[in-house]
Order: sequence, then C-alpha cells, then structure tokens
Amino acid sequence: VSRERGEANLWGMQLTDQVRDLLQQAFPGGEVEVSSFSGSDHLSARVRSDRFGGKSLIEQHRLVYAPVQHLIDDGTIHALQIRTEAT
Amino acid sequence: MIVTDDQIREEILETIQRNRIMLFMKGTPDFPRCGFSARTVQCLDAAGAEYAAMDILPDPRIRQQLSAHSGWPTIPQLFIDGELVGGCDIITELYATGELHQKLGSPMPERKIPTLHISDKAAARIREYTQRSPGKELKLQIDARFQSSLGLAPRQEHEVEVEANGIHVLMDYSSAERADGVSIDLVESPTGAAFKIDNPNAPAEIQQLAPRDVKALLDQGRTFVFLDVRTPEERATASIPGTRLLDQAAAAEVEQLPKDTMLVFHCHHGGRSQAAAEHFRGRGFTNVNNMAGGIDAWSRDVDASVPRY
Repeated sequence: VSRERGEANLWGMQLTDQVRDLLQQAFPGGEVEVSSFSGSDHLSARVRSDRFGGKSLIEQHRLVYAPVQHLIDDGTIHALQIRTEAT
Repeated sequence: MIVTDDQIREEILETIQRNRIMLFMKGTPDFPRCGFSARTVQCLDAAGAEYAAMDILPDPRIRQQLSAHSGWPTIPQLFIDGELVGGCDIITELYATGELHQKLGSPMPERKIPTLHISDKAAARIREYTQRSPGKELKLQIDARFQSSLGLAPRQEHEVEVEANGIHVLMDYSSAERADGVSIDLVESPTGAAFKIDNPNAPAEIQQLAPRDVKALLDQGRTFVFLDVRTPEERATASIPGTRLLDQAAAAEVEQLPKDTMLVFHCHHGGRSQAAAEHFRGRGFTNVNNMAGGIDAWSRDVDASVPRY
C-alpha cells in the first residue's frame, strides 16, 4: 500500500509526538527525545532517567518498550531505536 | 505438513537450549533482510562469535512465539546461554564497550589507537568548549554508516583515548576502529563556524538513481548488476527485464565480484533495496546504487507496461 508523501510526513510527526508523550509519562522528571529516521515509522528514542539506575541494559530497554508496546504490536511503529542513560 | 503453534514454540525453545549463542533475525547471516539484523551480524562476526541463526521471516508465527517467550517486541534477538541479551541497539552498544567479547567468551579486542588530526582553529574552539564544561570530555562518535559527531560527555569505562594537537579525544571501541586518519577542522558556514570531520575510511555514499537514470544507463549499454530485492511472489506479479532476484545464491555470487563492480538495487518502493545496498556497501563495495521509488516509480516513469500493485 503506498501512502502519499505529505500524508506520511504528517502522520509521522503525530506518531513522534505520541511516542514522546507516552515516554514522558513513563519517565517523569526524565529527559526524552524522539525523532524519526528513514521513514516516518522508524523511530529513535533517547531517554535519560533515574529509573535506570542499577539496571542492566536489557532491563532499561524493557522499561522503554513497555509504554509503547501496543504501537509496536499493531505495526504502527516499524522500528524503535533506543538509547538509555541513567542519571 | 501442518505445523502447529506449539511445535513452533518448542522448536524455538529447543534451539535456544541447544545453541549457546543463538540469533533470531530477518534473513540469514550471509544475507540479512533488514538493516538491524545486518548490523547485529556485523558485531557478532567482528567479535569472532560462533553462533547459530534462525530466520524468522518464513512464518509469521515464529516471531509471535519468540516474542511471547522472550517478552521482547522486535527482531533481531540474541540469546547467550539461554538468556536474552538484547536486540540491535544493545548488541551494538555492548560491542562498542567490549562487553560483547566478554559475554561471548572471545578474547578482548586489541585496542587499536587511531591517529587523528585536529587543525589549530578547531583545537582552539574545542578548548573553549571543554573549559566551559568541567567534568566533561570531548567524544568522537562514528557510527556504522560513518556518520561522525563530536560531543561533550563524562568519561566512561572502556574508552579509547587519543591526543591530537593538545586535545584529548575519547571514543568507544567501534568508533576508534573507524577513526584512523580522521581530520577535524573548523570551517565558516552561513550559519556560523562548524566542525568539519573528514574520514578517509568512509566508503563511498550510496547513490540514489531515478528510474529514468537507470533506463538511460541500460540504453547506453553500461554494464552493471541490477538486483531485485523483492520476494519471488512479487517478482511473478511484476518485474523489470534485465534484473536478477537477489536470493541467497545471487547474494553469494555478488559477494565474490570485484568490489568496484557497479551494483543497482531495486524493490517495490525503495526501502528494502536501500537496506540491501547498505549491506553490500558495508561489505566494501564502492559503487552501490539504489533505484529511488522502486519498481512502482519505474512503472510510472519508464515503462507503463510493468503492472503496479
């Protein structure tokens, strides 16, 4: 299914905002950056939070996946690149 | 034969138990079907890992059952000693710090110390920044696509440290591998002075060719390898004369070609072919091209007799 370029961009912007909101709710007081790369459904998230303290990388990434899991499961997000940093 | 969900689940669990290092991916290590799987394979290969791999693409239930077991939503997934270690981002990060070698039981990598060149102007500007940010050090990062960035951040473990023109630069292990001979300069631009990072190790960029340009090359009789990255089913629906399906046999043959052979990739809309192009660029090919817009744009702009789907 092909999507018109203008529509894809608009949709991508909304998705980026949606994911940023979800992550900000999940990491109150943390720093959240979300951007898209190579297409609107490929997202990159950078999260700095004190919730990561003392946790392994995989536990940290699971914490980031949890609030957006439903968007990955239904295919809205095709790829989510994650970078975490404990504060 | 009908395979049940339970059988797929059992096969997954069994293969995780049987293989100490087990990778679930899209495609195969020789021919990854996704950029994230490709990068993970590169890290494992570079760390000298002996590993088994399973392609999740042939049946969507493999991915469903795998994710149900691991609680991890994306592909690839790497298991060591039966435990999920992570996906592409985590493996890339573990590789960069050397921890992947430890987990795999590979000998720790020798830290090659790259040589950097920093111009006087750039050094002066960097000094201004570092003096204003106590506790932070200059970091140079070069990713797998050879995109470079400079930043200030606290020192971390396992970093490679280099001195150039009186400036200390810290790099993770992967960046250091790609950094030998890099020069950093400060250049004036319309928006102010900016750092310019030149990397002699960066392979040539992937060129985006419009379908009309590809057609012109064909008409001029230019020789190049024109590869179709789609599935055999899509190819049966519509194909471009002169192309070859990039299946595993074709991928193995292409690997053997001289590295300056011109390669052109296409798929339906240009996304999968870009991933394939990046894979072969990563393997050292220097003339790698992606047909922008894929066969869909070809039907629209070059040959309307090729059906759109």
